Amino acid sequence: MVLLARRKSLIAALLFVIAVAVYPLAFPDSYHLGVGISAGAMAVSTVGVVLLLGLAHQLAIGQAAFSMIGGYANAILCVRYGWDPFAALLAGAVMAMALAYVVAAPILKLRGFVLAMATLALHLMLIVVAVELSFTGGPMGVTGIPKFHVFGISLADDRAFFWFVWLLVFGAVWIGLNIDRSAIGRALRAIAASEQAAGSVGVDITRHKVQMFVIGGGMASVSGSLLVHYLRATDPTVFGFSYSINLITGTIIGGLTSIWGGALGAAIIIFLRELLRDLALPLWESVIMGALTVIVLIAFPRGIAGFVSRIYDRMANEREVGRVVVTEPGAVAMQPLANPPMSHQPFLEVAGVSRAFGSLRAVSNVSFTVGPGAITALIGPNGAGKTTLFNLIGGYLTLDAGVVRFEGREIQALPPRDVAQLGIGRTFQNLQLFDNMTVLENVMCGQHRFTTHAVLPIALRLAAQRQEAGIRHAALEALGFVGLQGAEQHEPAVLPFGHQRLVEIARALALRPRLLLMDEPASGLNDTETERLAELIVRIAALGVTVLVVEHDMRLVMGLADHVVVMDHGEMIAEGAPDVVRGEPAVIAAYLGQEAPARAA
Amino acid sequence: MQLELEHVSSGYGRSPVLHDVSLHVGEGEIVALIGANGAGKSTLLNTVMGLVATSAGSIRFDGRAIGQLPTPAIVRAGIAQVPERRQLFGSMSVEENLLMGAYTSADRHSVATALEEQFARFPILRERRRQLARTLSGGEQQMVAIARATMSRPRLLLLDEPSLGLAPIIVAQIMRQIVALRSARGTVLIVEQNAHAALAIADRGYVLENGRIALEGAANELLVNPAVQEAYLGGQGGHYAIEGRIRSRKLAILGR
Amino acid sequence: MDTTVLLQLLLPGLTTGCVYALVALGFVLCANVSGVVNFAQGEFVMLGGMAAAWLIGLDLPFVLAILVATALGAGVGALQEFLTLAPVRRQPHFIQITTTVGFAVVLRGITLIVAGKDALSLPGFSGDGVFFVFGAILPVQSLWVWGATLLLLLGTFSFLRYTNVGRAVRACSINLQAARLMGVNAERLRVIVFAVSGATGALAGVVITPLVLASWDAGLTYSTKGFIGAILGGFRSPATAVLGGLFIGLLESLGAGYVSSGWKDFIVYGVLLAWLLIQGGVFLRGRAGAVTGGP
Repeated sequence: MVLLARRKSLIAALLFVIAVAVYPLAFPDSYHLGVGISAGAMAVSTVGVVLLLGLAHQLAIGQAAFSMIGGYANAILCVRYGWDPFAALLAGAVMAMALAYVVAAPILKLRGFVLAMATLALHLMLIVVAVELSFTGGPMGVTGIPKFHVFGISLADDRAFFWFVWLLVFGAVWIGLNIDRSAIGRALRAIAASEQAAGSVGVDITRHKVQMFVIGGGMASVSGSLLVHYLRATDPTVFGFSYSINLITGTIIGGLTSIWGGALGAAIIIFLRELLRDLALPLWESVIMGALTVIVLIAFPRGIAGFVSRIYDRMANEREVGRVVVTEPGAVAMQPLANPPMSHQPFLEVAGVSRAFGSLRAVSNVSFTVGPGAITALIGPNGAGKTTLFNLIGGYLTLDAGVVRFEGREIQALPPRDVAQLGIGRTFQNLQLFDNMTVLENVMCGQHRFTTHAVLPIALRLAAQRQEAGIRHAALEALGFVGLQGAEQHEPAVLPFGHQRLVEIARALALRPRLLLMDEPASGLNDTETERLAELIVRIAALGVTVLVVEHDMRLVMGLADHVVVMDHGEMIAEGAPDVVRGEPAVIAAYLGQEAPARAA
Repeated sequence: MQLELEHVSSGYGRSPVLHDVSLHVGEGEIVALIGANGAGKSTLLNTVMGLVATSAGSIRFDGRAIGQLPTPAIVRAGIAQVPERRQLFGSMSVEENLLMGAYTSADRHSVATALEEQFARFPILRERRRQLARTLSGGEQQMVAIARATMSRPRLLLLDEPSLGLAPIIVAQIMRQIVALRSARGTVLIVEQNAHAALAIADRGYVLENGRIALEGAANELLVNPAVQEAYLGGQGGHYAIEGRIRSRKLAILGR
Repeated sequence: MDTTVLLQLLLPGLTTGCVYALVALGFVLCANVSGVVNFAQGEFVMLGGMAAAWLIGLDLPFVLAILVATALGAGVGALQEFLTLAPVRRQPHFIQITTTVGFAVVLRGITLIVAGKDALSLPGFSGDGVFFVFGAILPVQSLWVWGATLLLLLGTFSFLRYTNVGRAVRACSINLQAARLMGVNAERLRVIVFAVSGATGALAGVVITPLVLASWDAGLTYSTKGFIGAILGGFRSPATAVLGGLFIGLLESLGAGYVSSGWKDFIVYGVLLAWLLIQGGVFLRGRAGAVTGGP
């Protein structure tokens, strides 16, 4: 599918270049060139909106704020201080990005819709500033903005400016595509599908959202700069609320999940607006924009680009993927751990750990150790506190008391992504696959901790390529190891349930974990699949990976575990070898209930 | 038969939980459904309530197919559930919780009578009626959950792990209340992991294992059947042979 | 500080604060039952004011116009939930919110087409006279705004507290699954809550119009200010949302009086941003939600 996406992108790029080259020749008059320039200016920022809305799921309701900064920076710097427009454009972008960072970095930790409101507030504040200050020209704004030129090279000819604007659009699309197809793009899609699973492979959720917000702000700023040089004047109404709305509508119509779709949407919106003006129906603009937003979201959530892409797929028959035949676990070898843990040290140590929810003591004063290289099972009746304990170890919950030590290092205060970065992988009881990616991409996400997350080298394609090849190779190896060779290009949702479990395990293995936490890996599996799972876990242990598993299927637990820890009512009631634990009266009573009170009834 | 499940399969989205489950509950019976956690007991109750969609099979209540009905319709048909972990409305008072239980009843007078009945059955709740539900002890909360579910005078009551998280002495109290419910109103299907507590009050029982009915029979027979313990903690014979095969594979590969 | 001057600022602030409070209440109620932040909330206020003024312009009797405007708010609210939100219920959260933004824009657009660009006005319900409170001069219409707000708040809170359906609304926001088990039809409840908040907003728009004029583009301001009030109130409790809304009205009025009317919005939005930055930086540094146990 990645290859397919490349080919589709190549076709899109070709069409794009042809359209951009031909349009000014076909419509050489200044009105049509002007429309094209406005569309291009908008397209630069819709690419940013795709990154923000489509990838990071952040509602960018106040993007006009950043366009306004770009626009006014250009107006003021060029008119009052005689700057070169291109230098002013860059300066505006830097200012917008700095402001975006200051606003987003703290707020993105809060609930999703709050950032939307914060940017809207920022936008409305900037409007007040623009109206009230004489420095910004007050309600009348700034006039006499020069035509665009780049360090002395004049772009006064509308046609030249048109090409320049669309060159920048191409640059924005290129940056967008680089991000979309990088580890960051995968990380953002992972966040969209499941924040928990994203954390489990080491994704820093806030950081990537901030990155997209800053880049989106930069693109919006450039867009505003270009617009004021075309209009030759600016005032506070240029960057009003409807500016943001048009951006969002355009992106949605074009296709939220496609970088090309964003650019396409901008063009559609601008031409639609002009059409309405030609038809003398300017009042209808608002109704039509709003209605299009709602209708497209309800009926075609992936917009025109998604629609076209699907038709292409169907015509090219590209999505025909064969049945997956599962091979034996370990059919494809994986490198054993390079530096397996020393056998004389405690590997994972849980000491005096407690956690209460209100009056309920979910885990109270639990201590045990997991030996290096061992398979340890954590069992207990419903409500015993196993999952809570698992989440405490994985950093998904904070503990009230106690210490969790991993290879001698205290990890109880670390969030999931940092736990993952240390080499602790996990799978989930209720499968948490990334449905918006192929199986291979899911597993590639497991490699996240080995990739660069700096956005600049990725956006400019300085680091990505070499890195990607290695990631892909490691992911294929992990998929082969669990026995899923040939399933790479499938969407996880179309696979049978048992195979989906294997994908999740492969993703955790791609992390090259030293410790693997598995939460009820056998639930939902039939007997054959359960046996195969057991074989896989044994082979994982043979790589030198230590395994801690919560499981209900006693055949698996008793057959597999070196050591069993039993919990009940939040406390540890027994531990030892499987056969010893199974015979303990306390364990039997915990599972089947005590006889005394039942008789009393 | 009051409740009848025939060859029912169901699950949550991509994860199948129940496979081909058939069971029935007769009018006036107390039936226990026991099994280790993860066996699918709660899923079965949620399937009956229409919260989980069935992928195959049929569910009938009083002869009427209810498998495709939405939850409110099933409640109106006369089934109520005491959910796992009680699921009270924590920031509402005890009385308001009980009134929510009578949501489907339009008759104010009968709601008032039902409320009085509950307070007569659980006098402590009358004292606590103005208190927020989340401030109650675990046992009291379980009483609220049972009282809330019976406010609608259901003909079939489903109880999901009423013993969960409670001390043995409180469990015994709750179980006595459940027996009293039967004499008052009829049919009970109780899901429990605590096999002894549930079978002690039940007429018949089913053992659920990995989403399938593994055993069924009279409660007093199941109580002494060693196969029940195997269903919880594993064993040697039959399909437990997997355990032995896993052990030998492990020995072959890991040498331990 | 001169009490009269202060009162002359605070009391009109209270009047606009009443409208923000009702919008904030609508935000929180809708969010509690549907999980969606409804950005069209302020448009109901705009719609109520515009509809009443426009209908009276068509020589409809006063009381009838008010009733129709309120009913329109209820109908549009119900329609919004039923037509635009129910179909995207399973979509990601940001898509649901974006849908409400789109719906808000449609409402503005339709009003613009039907009623035109010009601001419309209404006469005061009991004349355009004034009254005095410790030297501060207030239009008589303020009493109508306060009274209507008080009645609407009392009505809404009694509805939530003492009626079967109101209790179910609260139950849904506490524990949706448990509410379903009680036989609550959550889908229908959502429509009801949207209708109620639409009607409340519209009525607020009707009573405030004699004081501030109604205009097709006024909804955005009501939405943002009501939303800010709801956020300051924690976005969960209806009562604190109301207080938050009142606070915004007072803040805005004081800002206009002591700084300048041009900068009053800057102050309100600045307070919000500062509050969010502090909250994000210091409080609420939670972890990603814990993995909950399954069946």
